[in-house]
Amino acid sequence: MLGHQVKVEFVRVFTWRQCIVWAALVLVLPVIQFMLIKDGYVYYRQLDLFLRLNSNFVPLLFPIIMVLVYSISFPSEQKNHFIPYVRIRIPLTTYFLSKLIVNAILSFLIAFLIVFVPFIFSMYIEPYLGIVRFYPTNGNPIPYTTFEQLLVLGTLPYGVLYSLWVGLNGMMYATMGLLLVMILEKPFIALSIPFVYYLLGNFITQVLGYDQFSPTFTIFPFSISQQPLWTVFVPFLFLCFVVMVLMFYLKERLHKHHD
Amino acid sequence: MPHILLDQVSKSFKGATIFENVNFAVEKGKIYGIIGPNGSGKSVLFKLICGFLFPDHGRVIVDGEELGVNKRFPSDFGIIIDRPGYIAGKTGFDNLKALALIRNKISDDKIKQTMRLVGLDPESTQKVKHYSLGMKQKLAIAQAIMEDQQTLILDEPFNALDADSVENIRNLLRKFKEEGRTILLTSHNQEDIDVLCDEVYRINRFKLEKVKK
Repeated sequence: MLGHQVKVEFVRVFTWRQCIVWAALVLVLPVIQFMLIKDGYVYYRQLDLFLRLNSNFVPLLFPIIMVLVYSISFPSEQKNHFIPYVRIRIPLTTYFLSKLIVNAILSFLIAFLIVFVPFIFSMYIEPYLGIVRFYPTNGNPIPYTTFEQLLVLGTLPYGVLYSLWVGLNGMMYATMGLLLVMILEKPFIALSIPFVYYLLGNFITQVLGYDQFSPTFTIFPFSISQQPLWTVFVPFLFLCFVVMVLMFYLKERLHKHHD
Repeated sequence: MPHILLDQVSKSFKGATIFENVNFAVEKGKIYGIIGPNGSGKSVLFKLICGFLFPDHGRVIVDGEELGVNKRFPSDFGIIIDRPGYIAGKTGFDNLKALALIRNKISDDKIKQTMRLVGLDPESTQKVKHYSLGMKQKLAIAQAIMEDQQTLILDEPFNALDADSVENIRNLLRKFKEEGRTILLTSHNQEDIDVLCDEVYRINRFKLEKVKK
């Protein structure tokens, strides 16, 4: 039953309009960022271009982008009393779980592509186009960043693994957003909380002097010197814990909430 | 064995009693009318029968299976409870399609046929948020009957319908009864109850009382 409902949710969500929204989420911010940074910075390596492409908009707006992938469509079902008519056809837990699964898959893919597309462009396409000018280091130190430890595996594995990491984090923020929409009465507040959590996490870690554990720097570590890889798992595990608590709360409250 | 049986059912919310030791048996192939003033518990009764709520005491048994014990929800029920439900940004057809896909029992043609049956245009590109109240009500009726549900639980199915539509839906319900389907309905309009129902019950002092027709 769950497998069928996941398929149904995919059928429902894959419309032309939705595909255009996803394409815009993946492409618009990196394209704007590229236009802004292609001339104004000194680049020593193709990788520097990739790192710069992933700064500014995407790290700042990451949780918002993630809730726009799928979670934002759910309040319209709750708002107009649609759920009782679903409920007579399928158990609520199955229905909500199918939505959480679809949301997780889609947000993972979009977050992955938001990073992987600029990576492919920076490392494999731009060298042929020659749009960006690269300079010799002339003895200047190259600012290595977290995850560059993975370059020993090769450039493409680095790109894939790093994009998978961003995908995982995107999935968790999107899941947090959808769970909150399912739990809370006010969708706007529910969809804002992942962003507030993200900002608050950054603020607290900076105030305490633990930048290396901030949500932003552990997903987009381009404004902080290279950290040991284990540091990125600290806020991620905390995020996983928060999501698990929300899941448990939803499971306990689901029927009471909709009776 | 009755199709639906409420056995000594009691239900209260925050200390306010809605039902107390209610017994109610529903036979297949009949139309039952439930009447009572606003807030008397008509919707609660329907929610208990659908498994949306569980009784504090007593049992709700559908086709021999106790809700909440043998099964969570009764199968093959079509419902309208409280008010029509819809996704505002989709067309009427897309709304019904979204629901029909869950069970995957009926084709697009069946959905369109049902929409025509209740007086909606299946080809219309009008989003439901732009529907009139009557059109939303027809959409609610369509989702309750489109999968040939054998038991219909209809809370105020004639709300906001014009006279022609009321007559159309009454005829539909009569036809369903002839086919052997079971229907429970509420209506504020006594005429709907009088012309349709085989048995009528009134909610009075937390109990269901049979009303002579």
